[in-house]
Amino acid sequence: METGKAQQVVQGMKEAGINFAVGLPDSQFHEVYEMIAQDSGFHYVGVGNEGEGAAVAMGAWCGGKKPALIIATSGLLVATFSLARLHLKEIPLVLIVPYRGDLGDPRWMGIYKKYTEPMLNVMDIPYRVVNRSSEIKIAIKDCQVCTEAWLKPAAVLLTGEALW
Amino acid sequence: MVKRIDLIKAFASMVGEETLVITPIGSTTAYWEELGKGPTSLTSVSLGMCTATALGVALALPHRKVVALDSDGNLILNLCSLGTVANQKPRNLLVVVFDNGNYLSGGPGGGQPGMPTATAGAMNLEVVARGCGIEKCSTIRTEEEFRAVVQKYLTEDGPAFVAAKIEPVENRERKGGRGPGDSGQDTRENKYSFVHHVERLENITILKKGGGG
Repeated sequence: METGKAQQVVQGMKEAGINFAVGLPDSQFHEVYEMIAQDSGFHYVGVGNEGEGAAVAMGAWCGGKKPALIIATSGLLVATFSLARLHLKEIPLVLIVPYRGDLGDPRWMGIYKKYTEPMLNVMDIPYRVVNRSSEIKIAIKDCQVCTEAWLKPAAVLLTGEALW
Repeated sequence: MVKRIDLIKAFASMVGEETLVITPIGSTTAYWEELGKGPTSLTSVSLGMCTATALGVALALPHRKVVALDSDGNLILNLCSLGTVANQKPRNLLVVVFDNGNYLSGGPGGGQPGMPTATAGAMNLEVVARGCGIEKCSTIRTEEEFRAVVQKYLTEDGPAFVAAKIEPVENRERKGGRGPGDSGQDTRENKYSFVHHVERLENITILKKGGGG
C-alpha cells in the first residue's frame, strides 16, 4: 500500500477516536500495521487468529477503549464465529479490511469476492466499500459513529484506488 | 480429585467486586452466577474467547486485576491466546483453566464425561503456557494448592497461569436453556451490567447515553 494511503487509514482511525488496534496482517496492508504499532496513540495487539482478535477487542471495549480490528479478507471469514458472539452481546467494533478478491485484485482471490459481502449481509454487519483514497477517513469515522450507536460491529472494506 | 464447584467457591472467597472476572460458557459461568457474581463479571464468553477477552480487559485497565476462569476445551480452541498474553505481558492478568479433560457440554449427561480433550491425553497446559512465554505457571490438584497458588498470583505481578485439574464430571447436569429459578443473566443483560460495573469502578463512561429514537 502506498504510504500516503496508509497514513489516511491511520489518521482516519485517530480522528474517529480509535485508540486500541488488534490485528493479524495482510500483505497489502503491511504499512498500516507498521504505522499503528509504532504510534503511541494506539495500543496494538498482534494476534494469532482473527477470532482471537475479535475477543481481545471486545474485552478492550468493555474496559473503556475504542478498538478496531484490522484483518485480511480471509481473516474476516475466520473471525465469523467471534463476530457473531459480539453481535449477540451487542458489542461495537470497527473492522478495517483490505478487500482482497474485489475486481481489480491482480491475484487469484475471487473466492473472497464470492463470500465476503454476502457473509457481512447475513451477519447483519453494516459495511462500506471504499474505492477512493479521499474517502478513507470519512468512512472510518462514519463506521465508528454507527458501531457505537448501533452496538454492533461495522466494517470498512478498502479496494480499488484506495488500496492499490 | 477436586471439584470445579469447590474451586469456584474458594475463588469467590478470595476476590471482591473490584477484581474483574471473565467466565466461559458452561458450568463455570453457571456456578459463578449461582454465587451471585454474574452481574459484576463478563459471563458466557464463548468458545475460544475467554482468555482473549480477559486480555483485552486487562490491557484496557492495566491498574486493575483481571482474571479469566477459562476451561480446557475452550482454551484449546484458541490456544494462540497464550502466546499473545505472553507477548503483551499484562501484569494484572491471571488465567485460571479448569481442566476436566473432556468436552462436558457435549457429553452424554447422566454423570458421564464427554469426549476427551487433548489434555486427557498428551497435552500439558502448564507446559504449553510456559512454552508460550508465560513465566508464572502452575498446575494444582487440590483445593489447598489452588488457594495457595491463586492467592500468590493475585498479589503478584502477572501474567500468570494456573491449570486446575478437576473431576471429569460435575455434581449435576445443566442442559438446555434458562428456566425458572435460574440465576443467570441474558447475555446482553450481562454485557450491560458488567460494563456499568466497570463504569462505576473506574468513573468512566463506556456506553453512549441517549440518542435513541
